[in-house]
Amino acid sequence: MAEAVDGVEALDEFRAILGGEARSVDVVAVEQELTQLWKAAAEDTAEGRSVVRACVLNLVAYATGDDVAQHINEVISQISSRHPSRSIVIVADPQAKAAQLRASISAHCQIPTEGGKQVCSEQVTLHASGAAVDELHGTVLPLLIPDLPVFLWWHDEPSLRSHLLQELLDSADRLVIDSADFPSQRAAGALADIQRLTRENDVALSDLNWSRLTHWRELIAQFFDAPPGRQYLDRLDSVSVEIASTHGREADLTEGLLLVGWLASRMGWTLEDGGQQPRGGAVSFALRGAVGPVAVELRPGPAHPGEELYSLSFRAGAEATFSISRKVDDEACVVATAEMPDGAGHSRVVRMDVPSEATLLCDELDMLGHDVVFEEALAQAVQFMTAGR
Amino acid sequence: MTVTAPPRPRLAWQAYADWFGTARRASDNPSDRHNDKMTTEERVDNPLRAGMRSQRTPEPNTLVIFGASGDLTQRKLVPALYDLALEGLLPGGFSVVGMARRPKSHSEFRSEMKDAVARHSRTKPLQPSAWDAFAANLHYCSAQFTDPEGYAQLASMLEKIESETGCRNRLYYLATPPNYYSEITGRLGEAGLASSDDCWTRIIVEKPFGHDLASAAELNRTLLGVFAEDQIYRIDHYLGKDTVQNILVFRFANGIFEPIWNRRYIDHVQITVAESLGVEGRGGYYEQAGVIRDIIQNHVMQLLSLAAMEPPATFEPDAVRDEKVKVLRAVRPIPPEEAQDSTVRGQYGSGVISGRKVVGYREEERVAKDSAAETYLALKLLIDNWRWAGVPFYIRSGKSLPKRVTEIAIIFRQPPLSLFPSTDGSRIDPNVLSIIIQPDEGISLKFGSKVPGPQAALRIRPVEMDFRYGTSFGVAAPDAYERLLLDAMLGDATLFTRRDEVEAAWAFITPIVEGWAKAQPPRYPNYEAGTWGPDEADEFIERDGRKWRRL
Repeated sequence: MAEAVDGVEALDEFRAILGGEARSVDVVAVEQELTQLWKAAAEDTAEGRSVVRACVLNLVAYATGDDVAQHINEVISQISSRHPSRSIVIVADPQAKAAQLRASISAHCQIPTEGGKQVCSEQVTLHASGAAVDELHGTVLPLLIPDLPVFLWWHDEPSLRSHLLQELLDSADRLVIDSADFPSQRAAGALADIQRLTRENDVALSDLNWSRLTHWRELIAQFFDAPPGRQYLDRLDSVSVEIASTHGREADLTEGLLLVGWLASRMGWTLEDGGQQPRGGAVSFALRGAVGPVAVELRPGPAHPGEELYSLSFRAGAEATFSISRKVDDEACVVATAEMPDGAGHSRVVRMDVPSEATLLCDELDMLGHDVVFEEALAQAVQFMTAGR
Repeated sequence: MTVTAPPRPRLAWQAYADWFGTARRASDNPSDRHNDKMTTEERVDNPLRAGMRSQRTPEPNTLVIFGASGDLTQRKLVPALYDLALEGLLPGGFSVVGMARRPKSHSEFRSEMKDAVARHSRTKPLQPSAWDAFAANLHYCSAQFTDPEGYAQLASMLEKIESETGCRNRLYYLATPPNYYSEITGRLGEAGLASSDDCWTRIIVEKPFGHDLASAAELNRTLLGVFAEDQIYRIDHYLGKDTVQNILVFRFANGIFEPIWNRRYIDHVQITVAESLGVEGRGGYYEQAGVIRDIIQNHVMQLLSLAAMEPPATFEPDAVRDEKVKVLRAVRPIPPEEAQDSTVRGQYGSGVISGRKVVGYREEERVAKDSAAETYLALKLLIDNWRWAGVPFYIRSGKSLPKRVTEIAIIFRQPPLSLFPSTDGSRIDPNVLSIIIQPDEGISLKFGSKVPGPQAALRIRPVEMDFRYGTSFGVAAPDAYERLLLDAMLGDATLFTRRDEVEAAWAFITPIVEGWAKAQPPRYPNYEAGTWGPDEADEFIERDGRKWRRL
């Protein structure tokens, strides 16, 4: 088909692709079309620019519906400068009756630095409906670039019955999910299932909801880096987490439970009792640490756009309190305060932006191996969630 | 599955922090032991740190900046501290005391620093609430550096701050002209501020560390009269650059380069530090220093030692610096009488750089009309050890060159015989591995490839395999000062220069300068601004049958 268009049209067409337009192609000819695109781009020296195709990983993204696909396109475009990849976006409509499969190619290009080369990466979009969804792996697998890691980003609650997921996991190095998207009553079961599934397949697991905790965890750990704070870590007897309601939704406890799961797994706290929801939607757990009991409470807090954690506080008896809380007058910042006897306390303001989905995904793409700390935290969190039902 | 989790990425540069930090532990050398308290903080075992990017935050401390009105403080130090605070990498209970001559109130100092941070911080715009929290811990102490009264004032100010924060760790930063260094350290000692019983006290010294071997040794003696070597952090900001640290990662974290990193496979090495700017108002300093003291003695010798060192036994500060200093000691000295023939000096005249007319060096501000300072230097050095015997290292550095570029290029030997007859009489280019430090950080490998075509006579052309930081990691690198300030607070001296390194570098440089002083200087100016240095530099390398890389 490309032979049918003359040189000038072909040139215009690939420029349009590099400019961000998608172009439909025959499913079996995707690879050839991409090769032609980059060949034409390399030869196009008319504007004195040169285009470099960059690729450091394979990113397979799964979306249901065009809206989600549109959102995924935006995220991939934002991460393409840091992780130029061959991205394969699957837009699935498994409920449709007719089995259909369409493909298109597009490119993500960075604005070149002055005199520098323009770095571009490529995207293949596969629209599949009906029975074609389950057979998609046959189309996706040959499109993966060999010898580069494969990340599978499942932008939906993964269904264990999905044949496609099972097949893709066979070739993936890492599965990326976001448990914030899971309905809270099913989150525990879904997370437990996914953890089992990835273990069976020896695929590393990432949860963007866990990545949202990275900065919080760093700040928590800082309290206990130096000797004055460290002595209280083993004596903590109360942990209280405030969860904001985001986007007008009811407070979702999953992120908070991951945080508590992390503390419990690091500190060796075991669950004794709890999970009942008394008044006002708060949940409390009784844990046992090395020294004594630890009371954990998660409760709904004020609304905060974009993030679920609102504040944390840790107590060691009446002696010391450590807390991190969103600043009321400047929501981009948090206040981290340690109150300890003998003037060893301190308080400071640290910037903590709510990370965008692209930022979170970027961090996960940096990682190749298993995240053992996360997996242990998740196992604990699942226990808490199950107890809570 | 391993027990330790992979690091959680937050900032790419922290990967290096981890990587350098894994093997930090108290020195086993008995002679260092008495100072352990000051050098190696008691490592607190924090179970929450498992799997995290940064392995710890510094202990609460107070940073005292001498020369707080200076350019360095405004452009680099305070913006770097603010950026660190913003990232949450500074401990709670961290304070800054700026010390300078001009009388100023705390609030005047804070507002000056606020302007400086707004202009020079890498995170813009200024975050008002983060700034306010940071500024609350900024203090100012006005005193003459020579006045004992000022140090008493400083001591009482520190005491007041420390009574609030409850910690007495102190970090001094000498950001003054070097002629104050001995005065300040002496006064600190007198005032009893140079050490304390149960907390650490450290001092960061900015370059230049002396202007020749004798003055460097003298400065070291003065510093060591008051502080112990492991309290002293000599800063060379080049070492704080990610790409410079990457030389070590590249060499020692990859299996394929080290086996060919020696005289058997390498023909020669070229190190280039080119700047497209002139002296930019620093004429007064440059007249005294020249490129040999400004760039060669510190930055180039550091690059050389990183590129040529043996693998250290561990990534402890002293293990790394032991290997670096071994390289410097193995550099064959250039005695004064050979200085003239083994080097090429240049000084730029007027010219055009990137379409902009620039004046010659002698027309710059505060430069003598008959100045003999060199703004360009090319030299060849040899390292007499088993790895490098017979492999020349060609060094060139200059101001007002066509572009700004710093790179280390490893030029490999040709294959033992040429299998492919050449058609046009040209030789096949050797393989070149170039490590570009700035501005377009990356690594590229040049190799020969067949030009496509049906002709029987093969044509071979060099092609490049490129790795660019910018395309592999899209994160903005932190400023070198952020990394180095944090390291000093953590007590990690890996990226700081040790006394023997400084003196070994001067021991090589000083005879060259002495040799020049005895000989007739070249006829300056001898290169036009915007060209790659004097013609003699080309002849210099061509004498050996080699060529400067075209950059």
